[in-house]
Amino acid sequence: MKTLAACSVVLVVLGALSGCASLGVQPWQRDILARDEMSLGHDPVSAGLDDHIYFSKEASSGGRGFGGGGCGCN
Amino acid sequence: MQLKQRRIGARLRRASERVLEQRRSLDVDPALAIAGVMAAPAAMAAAQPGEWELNSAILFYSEADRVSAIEPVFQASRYFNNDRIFSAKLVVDALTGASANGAVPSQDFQTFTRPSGRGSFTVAPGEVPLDDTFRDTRLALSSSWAQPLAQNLRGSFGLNISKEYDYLSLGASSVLDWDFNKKNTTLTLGLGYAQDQVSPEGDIPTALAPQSYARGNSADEAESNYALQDGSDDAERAMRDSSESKSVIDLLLGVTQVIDRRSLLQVNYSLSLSDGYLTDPFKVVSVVDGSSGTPLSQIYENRPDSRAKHSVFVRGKRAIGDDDVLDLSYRYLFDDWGMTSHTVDMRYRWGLGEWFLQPHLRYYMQSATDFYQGFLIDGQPLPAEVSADYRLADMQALTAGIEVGRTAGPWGNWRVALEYYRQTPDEPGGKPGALAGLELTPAVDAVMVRFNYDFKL
Repeated sequence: MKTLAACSVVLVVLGALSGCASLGVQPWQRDILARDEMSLGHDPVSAGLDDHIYFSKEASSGGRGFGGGGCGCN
Repeated sequence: MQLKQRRIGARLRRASERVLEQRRSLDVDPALAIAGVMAAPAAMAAAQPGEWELNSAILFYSEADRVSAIEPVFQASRYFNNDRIFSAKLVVDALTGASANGAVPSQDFQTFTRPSGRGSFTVAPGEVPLDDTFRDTRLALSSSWAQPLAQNLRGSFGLNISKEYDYLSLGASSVLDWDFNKKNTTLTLGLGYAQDQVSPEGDIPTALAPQSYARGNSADEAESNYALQDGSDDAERAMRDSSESKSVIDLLLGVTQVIDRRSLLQVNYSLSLSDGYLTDPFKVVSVVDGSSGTPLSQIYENRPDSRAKHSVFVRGKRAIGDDDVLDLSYRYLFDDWGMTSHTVDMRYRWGLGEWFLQPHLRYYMQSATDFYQGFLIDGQPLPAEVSADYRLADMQALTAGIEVGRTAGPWGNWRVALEYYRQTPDEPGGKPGALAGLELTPAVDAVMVRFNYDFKL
């Protein structure tokens, strides 16, 4: 049931995005988006450290992306 | 004349190649900026072919009366022509301190077997049993190669190895990013596989087998009662194999959409399938008397041998004013262990010229897994799966922090963050007798200090 709910959320979002081809910018309007701090991959080293802490202290992990390695801390 | 023409021709060719090169490095920027799935180096836009980018950090993590960790990280990325990037990362994780073994506190002194199965430790009345010999060093090495595979299609391939004294993890991952809609939309597909092996000192305990344990009115009495049990034999009998393994398959499906000149939205669905030995070989569950609440014995925990975890992660980033950025995310996660969690994370980067200040707030809440029990009642049938690890209990956690940094200036690009993390697990219900007056799962407080330094060669 939960899987179904999660899948439908993804499908709705995917549908919404594909229906929104009008969203976005022209290539010459990327000045702000091109800034380092606007990147979703900004500061991966710190993100990796955070993920490791929460992975070893909580029952949840992942979601943002993946990489790194497993550990015996959980 | 012909020679001169050839020279001019060559010069023109070189000039046009340079222009193309610059265009490519501009082209790659937004695509990479929104991909960000793998551990992509930070300032990709700024790095040029032939350059090395180095990102370093050191984290100090300290829990009140429990675990302390020092974790240095060093990542080097080399940029090649045609948007190809090689990246390698080294992480060292040195842990010391005390860790909860899962047992309940008691009104008596309690003597437990150390996780190694050799030796014992004694805790005072009312104290949550913590094994204070917890010590481990982890070394993790990962590398990745990223390159365009076709127009608007980018691939990244990674390998990683992580080694602890009693643990080895080997993994490989691959991520594909496909840009379309003028690079305003990126579809991401990620696949990862890891194989882990745990070989604890003192071997793998038999699930639900009793561990040598004793109580007493004083530390001496508890320890002499423990010695009478001839603990080493008991522990020996309870041990099974020298190692166990598990495999983890990770799948990620993501969409990143540029909303407008100032905003990005990312939605990921992740599936993580673990299979194999998922039990913590160092954790026990207390069996207590149903009326007095006195712990009578300690048995090794046992978790299911598979786990399917699903998560939906939504993240938005928006530039505000001239220099500020709001970064907001929410993750909904559930698994077939009966656990559900919600995580909200917010960062606001306040740009102040060359400097920035970034407050950070994170709230986390999880429900307990089906097999979590703070303790077992003596005489009742043993469940097939049980764990008293508070990390599987109903729990809330809050992180509050601030980061300050400088993006230019005499010492280059550095930043320092100070964070406070507090976990508040719910107390198990139905505590009998004396247990009702004792705290089984106290809050855990931790302070983190992180220092980052980035530079180029």
